[in-house]
Formats: sequence, C-alpha cells, structure tokens
Amino acid sequence: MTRPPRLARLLLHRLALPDDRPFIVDDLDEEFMDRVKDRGPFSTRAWYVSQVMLSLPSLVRLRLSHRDPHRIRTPMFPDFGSDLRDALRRARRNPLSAAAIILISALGIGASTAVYTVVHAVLMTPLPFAGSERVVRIENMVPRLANEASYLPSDTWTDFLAWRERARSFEVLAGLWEGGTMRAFTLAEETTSLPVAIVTEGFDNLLGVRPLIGRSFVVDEYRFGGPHVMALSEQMWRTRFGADSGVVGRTIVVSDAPRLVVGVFPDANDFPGPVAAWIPLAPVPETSMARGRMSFLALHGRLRPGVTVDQARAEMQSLIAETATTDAQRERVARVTLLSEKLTGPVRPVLLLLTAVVAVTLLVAAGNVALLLLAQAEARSRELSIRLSLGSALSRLARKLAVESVLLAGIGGALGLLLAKVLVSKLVAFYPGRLARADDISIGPPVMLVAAAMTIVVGLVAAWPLLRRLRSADLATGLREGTVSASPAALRVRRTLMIGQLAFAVAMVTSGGMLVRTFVNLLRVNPGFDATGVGYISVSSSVVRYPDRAVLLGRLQRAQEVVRGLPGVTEVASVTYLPLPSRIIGYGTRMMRADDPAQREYSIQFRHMSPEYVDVMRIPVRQGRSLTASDDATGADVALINETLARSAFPAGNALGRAITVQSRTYTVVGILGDMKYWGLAQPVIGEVYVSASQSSLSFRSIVFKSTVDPAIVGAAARAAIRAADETIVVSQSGRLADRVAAASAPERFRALLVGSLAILAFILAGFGLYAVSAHAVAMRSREIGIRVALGATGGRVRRSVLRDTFVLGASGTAIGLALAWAASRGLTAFLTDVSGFDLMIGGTAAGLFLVLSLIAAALPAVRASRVDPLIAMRSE
Amino acid sequence: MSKGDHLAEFELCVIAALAHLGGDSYGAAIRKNIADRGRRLVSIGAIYATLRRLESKGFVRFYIEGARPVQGGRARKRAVLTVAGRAALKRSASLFSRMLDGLTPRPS
Repeated sequence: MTRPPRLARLLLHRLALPDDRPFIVDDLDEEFMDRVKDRGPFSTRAWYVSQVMLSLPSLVRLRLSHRDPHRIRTPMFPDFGSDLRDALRRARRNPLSAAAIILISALGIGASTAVYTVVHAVLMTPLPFAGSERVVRIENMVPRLANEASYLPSDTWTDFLAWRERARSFEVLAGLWEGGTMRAFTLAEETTSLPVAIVTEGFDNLLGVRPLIGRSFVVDEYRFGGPHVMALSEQMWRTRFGADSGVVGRTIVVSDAPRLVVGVFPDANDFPGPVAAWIPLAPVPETSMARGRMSFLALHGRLRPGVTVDQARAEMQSLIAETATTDAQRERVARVTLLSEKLTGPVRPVLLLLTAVVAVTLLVAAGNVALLLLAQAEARSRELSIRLSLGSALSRLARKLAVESVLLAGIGGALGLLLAKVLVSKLVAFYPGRLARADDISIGPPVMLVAAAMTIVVGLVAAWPLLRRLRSADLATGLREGTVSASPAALRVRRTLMIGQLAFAVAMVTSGGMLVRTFVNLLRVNPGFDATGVGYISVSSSVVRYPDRAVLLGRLQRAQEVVRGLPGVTEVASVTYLPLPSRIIGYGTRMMRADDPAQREYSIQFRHMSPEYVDVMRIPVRQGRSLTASDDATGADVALINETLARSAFPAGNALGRAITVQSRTYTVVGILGDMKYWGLAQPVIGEVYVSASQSSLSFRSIVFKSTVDPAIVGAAARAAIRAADETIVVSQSGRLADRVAAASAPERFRALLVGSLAILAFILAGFGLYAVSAHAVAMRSREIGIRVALGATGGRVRRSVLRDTFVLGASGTAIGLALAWAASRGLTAFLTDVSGFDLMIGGTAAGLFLVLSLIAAALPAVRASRVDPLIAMRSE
Repeated sequence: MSKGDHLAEFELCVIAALAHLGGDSYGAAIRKNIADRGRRLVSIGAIYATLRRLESKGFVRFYIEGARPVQGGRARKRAVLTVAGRAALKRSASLFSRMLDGLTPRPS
C-alpha cells in the first residue's frame, strides 16, 4: 500500500502545535488515501509534499505567535546533555573504534574543507572593484595554422582606436599592454627590473581606480610628446618609499627616462596583477606599435547596463567586418569573455575536478564511519533491545545514536579544520603558477559554516543505516539471540554500504591512475630540444640610453661574451624568447607568404637568435641550413621556420627559398628546424620564425649556455660578472633550462599527486572496510561455522567460503566502480594527454588491485573462521 | 467596529466553508471544501493556523471527537462555529455585498 512520504510527514508532525499534531497529520493522511485511489501514488506523493511545504509558513508563524508563557518548554533535543555524556563515556570505553571514526572523518572533512576553501575564494568571490561583474575581455582572434582549437587573440593599437570610436556596447573600452612589461627602475643608485602595467586611456576608470594620494593620468599624458608620468602601486609605495606622501611630484628614472610620479594607485593583485607602477601608453608615431603591427594589447571593456556578453560579441564581430581591409582580417573572430571567467578560466576545471574527487572521498569516509558505527551498535544490540522492551521510545534511541555519531564526526570535523588550514597553505603554495586569487584564500566564516554542515552530514549519513536498522529490525528477537545483525536486512545494509564504498574507491583509483599516467606521458614528451646542462640568463639594456641600435646590440653582445668567459661554460648563444615561459608573454605576430595574393595571415612566434642557438639547444635542422655568422645585419634577410609552419604555409613542401613577410619585412626561408614545444608540453606546436639576432632592435634577450658545472651556479656567477662588466645591463632571471621543462609539467604533477594521494586514501579505507565486513560476518556466523565443522567441514573449506564471500563483495563493488570510472573519464578527458578516454589497462590494473585487496582483507577472518571450535561456538549462545 | 470583529479574506473563506459543512467539521473537510469551491491551492497548515486564530477571536471552538468503531475511524479535532462566528460571517458577507454592489467584476 502506498504511504505518504515519510520525511514530509515527519516535518509536518514536528512543526505543528503539540495539541494539533496527531489531528493535522491524520487529516492529511486521510486525504492522501482518498486521492491515491484516483490519481495514483506518484502524483499523490508529490501533492502531499507540496501540502507540507505550503503549510510551513503558516505553521511556523503560528508556533512563533503561540508561545504560552506558562508552558514548560520542551527543547528540540531533550536530554541532549545526558545523551552527550553517554556518548563521551562510550567513546572512552571504546577508544580504538572512536579514534578510527574520528580519524576517518577528520581526513574526509579536512580534505573537503581545504578544497572548498580554494574553490570558494577563486570561483565565488567577485573581483574587488565596483562594476567588475560587467568587465569583459575582448579578443579579436586570428585563426592560427588553420586549427580552430588554437586561435590566438590579437589586438593592436589601431584596432583599439577603431573599436573605441565605434563600439556602442561598452561604457569604457581600454587596453592593457601585454608585450614587454618589465621596466628597469633606478632607485637609490641601483637598477631593478620590475613589472609595470602599461595602460591606455580609460583603464583606471574601467577598474574604478581611486588614487590613494595624488591623481590619476590626464588625457595629455596619453599622447606622444606629452609629459612622462607614472603612478606607483601601493605596495611599491609602502615597501620602497616608506609610504612617504612626498613621493608625488618626485621624478624616478624608469628605463633610463625620468618619469614624474603623479599618484599612488591601490594594489590590484587580481587584475592586472602585482605591478610596481602604472604607466600611460603613448605610442611613438610611425613605429610598428602605432601602425598596428604589434598585437600585444589586451582590450577590456565595461558593458553598458543591460547589454549582454553575447550582444557585445555580436557588435564586435560586425565591427570586424566593417573595419577589415583584407580578406584575412575579415576572417578574424571576436570573442568577448567576462573578466572573472577569464581570470579563473584555466583554474576552474581543475577546481571542479578537485571538488568531485573530494566529494567522493567524503562519501567513502562517511561510508566507512557508518560501517564502524554499525559494528559498534551491533555490539550493543542487546542493550538497545532491553531499552526498547523497557519502553524507551524508538525516537529517543535514534536521537541517542545520532548524537553519538555527530559527536564523533564533530571532533573529527574540528581536527579536520586544523588539517584543512595546513592543506590550504600547501595547496596554494603547490599550485603551479600563481593561483589567480591566491591572496583571498583563507578559512573564513562561510567556509567554517560549510565545514560544520559537512560534519553534520557525515555524522547523519553515518548514523542513517543505524536508524534504519532500528526501525526495521525486530529488536525483540535481538533480546533472544543476543544480536540483531543476523537479520538479512542488516546484512544487506552492510553489503550495500561496502559495495558503494568500493565502487567509489575503484573509480577514484582508476581516475587517479589515468592522471598519473598523463603526468608520466608528459615526462616522456620530447620538447624538441635538449635541456641537459643548459642554463639561461635574461638581460636587457635601454633603448633610451642607447638610441643607436648598433651600440645597444654591442652592449648585449658584450654581456654574452662575459658569460662565454666564465669557467665551465662551453657554448653560448642567445634568443629573444625562451621556450616554456612560466606565464604567457606576448601573443606572437603574423606572417604572410610574400607571393600569396590572398594575403593569408599565419599567427606565429617571431624570434631573434644568434647562430649558435640551434647548436646549444640541439635543435635538429630538417632541411636547408641553419643561420651562420655571415647572416648578420649586413647580410641578406634570411629566416628559419619550424616544421609545423612549413607544413601549413607551404603544404607542397617547397618552403626553402620562398619569401615570407613578418612585421613588414621580407625574409627568404633558408632552413627548416625541428618542432619545439613552446607554450607547454601538452600544447600543440605553434608556427615559429627565427631570424638573426643582429637584425633585431629588441633591447632584451636570453643568453643560453651549455656548461660542465651546474648551470644554476654559472647563472649566479654570470649575474655578478655582467653587473661588474656593465652596470647598465639589467639581469632579470637566470636558472636551469631543465627546471623550466620540469615546471611545464607541474600542473599535471599537481593533479596526479593530489588525486593519486586521495585515491590511495580511498584504497586504504576500502581495505579496512572490507576487513571489517568480513571479520564481522565471521563473528556473526560463528555458530553456523561451528555446526559445519562439527558436521565434517574441513578448515580449507571454511576458509574458502569466507574468502569467496568477501571476493564476491569486492568483485561487485569493482564492477560498479569500473562503470563509474568509465563515466567519470568523460569528464576527465580535458586533463589527459595521450591517454585514451578510458584506459583499459589502468582500469584493469585497478580492478585487479581491488580484487587482491578483498582477498587480503578476508585472509585473517578466514583463518579465524577455520579455527572455530564447534564446542565453544555453540556453547556461547 | 473593533479590530477583533474584522475578518481577513482567508478567515472569511474558512468560516464560510465551515458554515457550508453544517457549522461543525474538521481540518481535511474544510481544506477540501475551500480547495473545490474556491478553486485555489490551500494548505492544511493554513487551515489549522486560521482556525486557531478564529478560536482566539471567539468565532469557533474545538472539541475532540473520539474514534468511531468503523474502518478508518479515528479521533478528530472538530471545529464548531459559535454564535459570534455566525454573526461575523453575516457581517462580512453583507459588507462585501454592499461594497461590490454595482460593480461588474469580469470573471477572469
């Protein structure tokens, strides 16, 4: 017979005034019974729930207004104190099992709180400036290498001017320069290279910048020829200038040009990042920047109220069509993304993955706690039976058990919170690259609330099977037999719990295995160069101090010679951009084939290198030749391209000898180099063009060297030697190239380590669970086993039967777990490299491990079972 | 007219339903009556809460009817319309009819 939904019914009962209670519930039940005949159980149950839900407001109001001052208030949890004392006493009497419960809930709650903290800070807290929810990043993408998955954003100064004039979707449209944002600050006779934000007009307005002291920039300062000004960041102001308000009006030498400090801006560590100063962008006319040849401008806008992201995107797309002058420009695709999404974008899937993994760990832990509590309760079934038969209400006992499990989970939760504090700092420190919102991460009140909620959930989830058992089991028989667990319902609960726990653990181990495999695969990826014994040191000089290009290059060349002279250094070369940068600097530029009537654009990375670079890095020359010393400023304009670019721009395979145009200059392709991983080991290879460093006018380069001693030591020595030789050279970073390669697989290592260790935790928990279930089954069956042995069953046979039972349990859990893992692998694909959606070998290995685990877990109970003495077993009853 | 005599819309519904049911009925029947006649969603909790309020105004009183020896017979809490309750119903009804007289509300 269909019955009203139990939970809703209980809620109604709980909320009604004590005098009305039986009547209101009976009334609703009566109607339920009438309705169910006509309308069927499903819709009637839904009706019942809606009745209860609709009743809530009136009942709550009634209760609030109906406080009888003379009535003795019965608290929500009567006898809570005595229940608590009881629970504590019991925990003391049974310290091992209490400790196990506390430990398991601490691990589960600790891990989940830690991850929730990070998720909360990164994904849920808005950016700290007004109107930030309407700020978008605008990208104007060029298809790169005809591969739709790898579009590159590309905005130029001229794009900015055009969009700003025409776009109607935005209140403010402003840009942030992303190419070359390090500047040499001369402070107290010492020159330091520090990051700056170079911004167009309106950027301060976009972020709602209110200068702490002084003012922001004025229109004149954004024009070439206008006053050279800057604003310090709050951090710079405090650390370097002791928060001296007299700094406004002072002049600081930046990249050898004096700049007037007009104000101090508050820190904006989320966006644009931790910068030392802000500088207005004022392009020099007729330079490649001013003519729109350099696509380093990150455009941002604040949407007008009521304008959606999609509308803005549509407008930008139509503006592209209006302002394009070539077919290639018309092919560009507008992309408009909310800034908050842009900032957390790359982290979001990782955090979601972590959340899923942690939720599963929490479930496995709760399942384990439930099994332990169940075992405890079984040991007490005689006591519970006596209490019941003496007239204790079922609800009273249920409350007692709930208080007990919530108490233990609560202690576990408190410990878990401590654990979470440690884990959070480890997570933030360990996360490769800067976690976009790392500064906001701490365990605050909202996180505490969630942790408390999780504690109660673990406690109640763990107590749930017990309460169910209390309801279903015939406790009177418990009195007689001394145990209630013999009932098939109780066994079912245990086995279901165990299978569920196993299934989740198997899914975790399989997913963890796939992530570990991805990491291992990445370690095997050939980056296209040999980093062994190679070190690097990045240097820059100043265009302002040395406007003559030859002098500038001579200075940089001299730094290179200084490195060559260091002991242990065998080879030296230089390049403008080193592979595998820790953050994305520069979005590349465009290349066209000189003879292409369609003027098709290929997005490429453009590098200047010394001829030895190919040798130091051991980059293979596939066709043609490498650069030589004669390819200098006086020689012909020649270029090397990589295989990928050769394939896509010259599909006929005739790249050698052809002319290409990059930044308005035409080069002849003389050689094709092997592909190199540039952005990351798992990233697709991008098109690259190399030309001679002596044709460069860039004021910075990275010197790479091969040495017989540790490159890190050489790097440190080189830093000192360069400074001694030429104090105008600014050294920004140095180190081993191998470390950059290792850092490039850091995200994968992070994921593999985290999920892997949680998977091991789940595996161990599952092992304990299996052992507990198996040992418990043997204990419960001791009489039956005794009879079997008395009837002639051999020890081997008894052992086999115990092993078989646990093995069947393990196998069913594993089967479901594999299905779960298969489903989960679809969500995982984004994190996998060279691992097919669901790796059969990993799945098989995990399954094998769990099957072996179930046998190992059952081994001890099996041996114990075979030693059952029939006489003792039967006497004990 | 003191505030205590005033009937809110839903209170009027409950009193009217009670009157339709012979001036003596219980929660489920009143709820069903309003739901059918008023063609609106009515929750059992609202009925009980309103009856309580009407009781405090003196318009209804309760008594417990013992279980009858039939299938499904159970104890019920029944509400009876008092004399004051009937008077209030009459007052409110005539107030409404006077106020609405001459208006032709379009049935929606």
